[in-house]
Amino acid sequence: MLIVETVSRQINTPIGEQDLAEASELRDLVRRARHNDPAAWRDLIGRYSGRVFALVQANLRDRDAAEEISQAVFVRVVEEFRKDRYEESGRFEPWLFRIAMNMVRDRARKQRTRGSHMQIRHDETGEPAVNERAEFTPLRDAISRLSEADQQIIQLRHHAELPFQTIAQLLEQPVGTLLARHHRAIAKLRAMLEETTPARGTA
Amino acid sequence: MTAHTPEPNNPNDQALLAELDRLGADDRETPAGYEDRVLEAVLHASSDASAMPDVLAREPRAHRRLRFPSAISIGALSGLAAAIAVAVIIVPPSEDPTTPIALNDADEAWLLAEVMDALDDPAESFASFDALSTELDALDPDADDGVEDVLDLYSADSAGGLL
Repeated sequence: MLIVETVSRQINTPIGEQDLAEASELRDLVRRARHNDPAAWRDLIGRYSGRVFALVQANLRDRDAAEEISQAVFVRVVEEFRKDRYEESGRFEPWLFRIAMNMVRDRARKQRTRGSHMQIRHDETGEPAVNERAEFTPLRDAISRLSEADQQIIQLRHHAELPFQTIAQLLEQPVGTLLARHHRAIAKLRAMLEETTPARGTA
Repeated sequence: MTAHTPEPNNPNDQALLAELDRLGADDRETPAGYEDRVLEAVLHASSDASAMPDVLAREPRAHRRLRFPSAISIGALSGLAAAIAVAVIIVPPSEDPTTPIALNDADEAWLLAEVMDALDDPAESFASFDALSTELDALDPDADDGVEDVLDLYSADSAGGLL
């Protein structure tokens, strides 16, 4: 069970000196950012803004909205720092991406309420939104047919590049549950893709 | 095995995982100048907003405004059912802000739908409702603000204060 073994190694790998050094470096960055150190902010944004952007883009499939919301996420981080609502406990990543997920959820809800959510995914010709590479369209469409929970685990893992342990902290769910969900989501995706493009099933 | 049970070492699953990683990488490709713009927004927010109340520090929304708390009352929670009375007055930005116009039925329905949607998880939402009410009550009664600001406040709190 290659997938399970690969994931298991990722989860069970003991915390080494490198991990500790990275965690310490991140704590220092966050501390400096809280004190409005521009260099620290530049570093934090360099580390995370692309991943936040990808998480939003994966949900909304609208690069303009992804940039707007990503900026808003980091501004919200500033506000939360200012209100002293962030407690340093080595959990900056799940905290940051929870903010991003909340903002995406709010935007999606507003779009649903206003009846415009389909308009951002496709233009008037029914073609995928501009700036999307056509080679990924079947996969994007398949992901969009997954349940919200399954989409979430795919996006957090493959777009935001979060380890399962971090996703578990973010979603407040056991790692095993998330692994199982991810495993099932992959199977569903494969089944959907094989159904729409049968040649994929002959790998 | 069912169609929803991945097969061990299935090469198609491996290929799919690799394709998902490539898709993620594609989505992480940001527009030119993106990081600089994020940094600019962050530095602006960190230097500019420190002296202002949080909600009032945001840019005013162009499409609709509310006046509160004199124009909004939110309350009446009972058991698992929430009865939220939202009395709102909308002020089109192009008009005199001192001449409020009553919110029409469609707007009111939209706002109520938003708030009720935020109450999907009653236990979680109710726990934070007092905090929201306190924040709303603390706002400047003469200040204008947007529907989104109210909902942003609420959703932030309903999600466990983001912490």
